[in-house]
Amino acid sequence: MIEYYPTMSNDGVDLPQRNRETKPQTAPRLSDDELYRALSARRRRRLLYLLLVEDVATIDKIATVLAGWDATETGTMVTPDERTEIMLELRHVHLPRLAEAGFVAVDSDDDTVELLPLDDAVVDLICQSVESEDEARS
Amino acid sequence: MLDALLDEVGNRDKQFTVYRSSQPTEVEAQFAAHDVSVTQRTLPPDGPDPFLVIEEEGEFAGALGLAALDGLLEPPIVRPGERDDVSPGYRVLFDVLDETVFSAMDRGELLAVSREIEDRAYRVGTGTLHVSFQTLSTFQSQAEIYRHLARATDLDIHIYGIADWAPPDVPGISYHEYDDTHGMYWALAFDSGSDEAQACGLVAQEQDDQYDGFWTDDSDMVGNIRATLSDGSY
Repeated sequence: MIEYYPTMSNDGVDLPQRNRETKPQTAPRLSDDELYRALSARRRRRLLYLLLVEDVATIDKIATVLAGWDATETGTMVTPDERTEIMLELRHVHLPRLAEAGFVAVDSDDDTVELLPLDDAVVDLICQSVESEDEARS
Repeated sequence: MLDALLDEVGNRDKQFTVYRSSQPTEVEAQFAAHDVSVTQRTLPPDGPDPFLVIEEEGEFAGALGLAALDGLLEPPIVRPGERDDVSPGYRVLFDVLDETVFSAMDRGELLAVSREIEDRAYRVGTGTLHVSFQTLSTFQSQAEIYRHLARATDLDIHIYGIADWAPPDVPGISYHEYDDTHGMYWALAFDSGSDEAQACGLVAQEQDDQYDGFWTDDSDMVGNIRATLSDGSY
């Protein structure tokens, strides 16, 4: 890590300390507008909710569970095409957005998504938003 | 040919996964009778309602909420049409549910299933009933039952077997002998004439005094069994 701090700029003054918390500095906080934008889509809220249970998942599996979730609401069979559409949306819209906002890290080599450490308040917000939506439905 | 049917109805390339948060669901027990691999995955308690994911040859075929599935399985079972645009999930689901595959069934159990089919033929009273007893001497113990069946109904009954016994002449029953190389199948096919919903059949193969096979309510499959028996290509 030391090479990140070129010695030539150090005039005997302490280097700024890197944030020593386990959370990266980009971790979304309740005060961020970005956070609300990231959580504005139902797909993204649900995706995060699922990742809270299972920290790491393949995009394939996430698409399957989101498809199943849809099926419980429509009462009809989700088709392979519909699931493929969900997968494309995840790859091209939702995951890039969530990665940008600091919620998840996407590993494109093995197609997995990992949930990054989140503030408890943000976790609560995700759970509440998904659960209240479920209640509103039932 | 009958062994081709036996291979065809196997459900080993199909995978069902039930996603749910808590208690095992009734549907899981229902699948247990169908020789399909069923696994469970846990969902968060406040997440979605339980649902079923259907895969065939490792590929996603469909997903359906268990509430909708329950409705679908409630008699009378209304199946989606045979159109090409029907979701493959429905096709796989009914493939699995239409044919019940069994293994290591004993003779008494198989007789009980056969009796169900004969009973239905009796109640419907019309159509054709094709039955392959492995040998006509096996038919001997059933001859009275079939005599009654032929007399009390308008059924057209065809009996197949190795000719090791001379069966009685009964109006409504015709006999078809086959040679001893194909004697190991026990099969019934009842096509109920105009009412396809009543069609049913079974195919079983004897192995070491036990029987492996399937039974079906699918009229196309019943037609396949009947055609295989009557054209002698079993």
